[in-house]
Amino acid sequence: MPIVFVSGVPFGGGERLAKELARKLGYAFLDREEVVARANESGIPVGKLEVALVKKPAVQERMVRLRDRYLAVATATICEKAAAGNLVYYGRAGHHLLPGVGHVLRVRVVPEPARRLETVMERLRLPREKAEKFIRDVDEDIRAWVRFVHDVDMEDLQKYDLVINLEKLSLENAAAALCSIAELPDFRPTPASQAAMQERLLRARARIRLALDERTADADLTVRSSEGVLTITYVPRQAQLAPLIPDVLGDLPGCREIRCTMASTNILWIQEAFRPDSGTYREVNELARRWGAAVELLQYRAGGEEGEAVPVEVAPAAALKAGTGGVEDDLPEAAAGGADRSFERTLEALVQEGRSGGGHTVAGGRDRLVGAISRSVPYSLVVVDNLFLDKSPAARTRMTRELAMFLTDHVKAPILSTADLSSKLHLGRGEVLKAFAAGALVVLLYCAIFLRQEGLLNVLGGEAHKAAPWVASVLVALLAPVVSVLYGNLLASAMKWLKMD
Amino acid sequence: MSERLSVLVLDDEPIVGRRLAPALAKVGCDVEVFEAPVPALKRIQEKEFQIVVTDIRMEDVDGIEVLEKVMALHPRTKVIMITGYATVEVAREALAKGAFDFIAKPFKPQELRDVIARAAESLGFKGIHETPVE
Repeated sequence: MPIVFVSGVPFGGGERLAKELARKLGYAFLDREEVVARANESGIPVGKLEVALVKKPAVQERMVRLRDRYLAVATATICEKAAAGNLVYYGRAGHHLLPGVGHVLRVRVVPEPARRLETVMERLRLPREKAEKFIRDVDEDIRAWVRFVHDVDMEDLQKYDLVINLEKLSLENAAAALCSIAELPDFRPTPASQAAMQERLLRARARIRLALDERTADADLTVRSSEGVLTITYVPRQAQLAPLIPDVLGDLPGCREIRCTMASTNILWIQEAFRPDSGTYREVNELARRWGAAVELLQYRAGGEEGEAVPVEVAPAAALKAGTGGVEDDLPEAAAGGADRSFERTLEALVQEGRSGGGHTVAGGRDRLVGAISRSVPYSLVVVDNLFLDKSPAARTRMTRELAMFLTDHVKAPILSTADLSSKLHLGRGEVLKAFAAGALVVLLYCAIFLRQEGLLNVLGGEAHKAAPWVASVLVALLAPVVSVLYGNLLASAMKWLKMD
Repeated sequence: MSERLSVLVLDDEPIVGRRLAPALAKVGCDVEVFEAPVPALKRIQEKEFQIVVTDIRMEDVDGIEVLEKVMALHPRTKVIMITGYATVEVAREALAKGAFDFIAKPFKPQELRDVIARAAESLGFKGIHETPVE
């Protein structure tokens, strides 16, 4: 029998329908509240995610690690409960937790608006106007949650097998109709769908183990699995974790083998001053997201007092710790007093997004800088900018360019300034015009060729060719590179527009 | 001598009051800590606090009821909700009922100090510091 996922909005009747359905079918019932409680018990503060949606949508990106941990707990809880027997789950869009699992019936419940408004007014003791605003705000928050957590639009009805509108249909009749549908052979488990669910469960359990073990809790690890083989990818600065990972995951049920590999795509970002709200941060982060790369920060102060590279540690990811009552330790006085913590904040932002490759600071001459760059890390790109801040803008640009050229001789990776990075990532106005011009010329060329086919064929193999065979060779030699350059420009712009690298 | 901000902290976990009271005192707040809602509400009836910081999940009376009672008695008081079990529904309910802000646990004292500074500013209060002073 399938796992029935009922999705709805608060006070919309969806939960009561799901409970009635579970009762009629004799299935176990599970709801989002229970999943959140389990996450909280495990020390994963789901409330931070929820409040971020209400208060500061801009900080959602900083919550990626927390989101992934919550998703792992939710997936494991649902799979474990479903493995023990049949299940009805009520939540916001829980079916997205099990992509590829076939024995899932996805139901969306649309509430009856007037009844919902009355329920909110009565249960929350709110006047009509405030209740209406509450409903609008909560619905928007939940849509934002589904978008952030599952990266889908909750209103996209193609993501459901069935939509139940409670405007006319009673809960009892809706539950009775769902009972018949749940028993259709289309939703029955198959060996393949059972195996897909076991794979999801294995991956989720591995993520939870790694997140809750203090040795690996703050590591940036990627977990994949295939046919019981778990592959854990770590960033180069955390290479010391490789021997620990099999210990942490040791006796995981359903795991046949554990493989640990180092991430092969890494970006090194060298600057003197970092800020997590800067345009450069967004650019580098966007590229890292596209590549699935880790970003390593290197704060370089040219000409400062010479010293070895110093690693910078950041606070661990938010977690509910026993004995603190949820009030963490205060910031050090110097930090709270306004000392510049931009570098640490940038590093923290990357850690929360699960893209940190670590950070360290170094001062002194160019050799110190080169010495601070690890030879064992396979960098895919080095971004250099915002250096020599005590110099004039002209001197700063010249010295940064010279440093980039110096690094080219010592680092086996492309070196880019942030301006170059931006131009490589985004389509500028000039490039759009160039792409249009290239497209127009390609069209003109093809029109000319197809409208003058007879003459062209004559030159390539007809009477004219017999009279002057060299003309065909010259024509091809001239046209082929022109067409390839025009096509190249057009495709490069299209790929950039589609954000393909 | 600068004016001080009167703050009531209510949380049934004693550690919360113990950690928050000194953290708020050093930015210019006079803090009274309560671990049970009933005595806290009695004190609120006696005195109009400028800020009330309350947990949501508590035995007997929950934080939403405390908020409703504070709003009914002293509409100018700014109520800041703190909870380890935040959901968008509860946050929206609290805001609809007049809460000034909502903080999910775990949080750093500085996060609460920032919210209190904003609340003090909206009350036209000048004596609060955003960061600790020696």
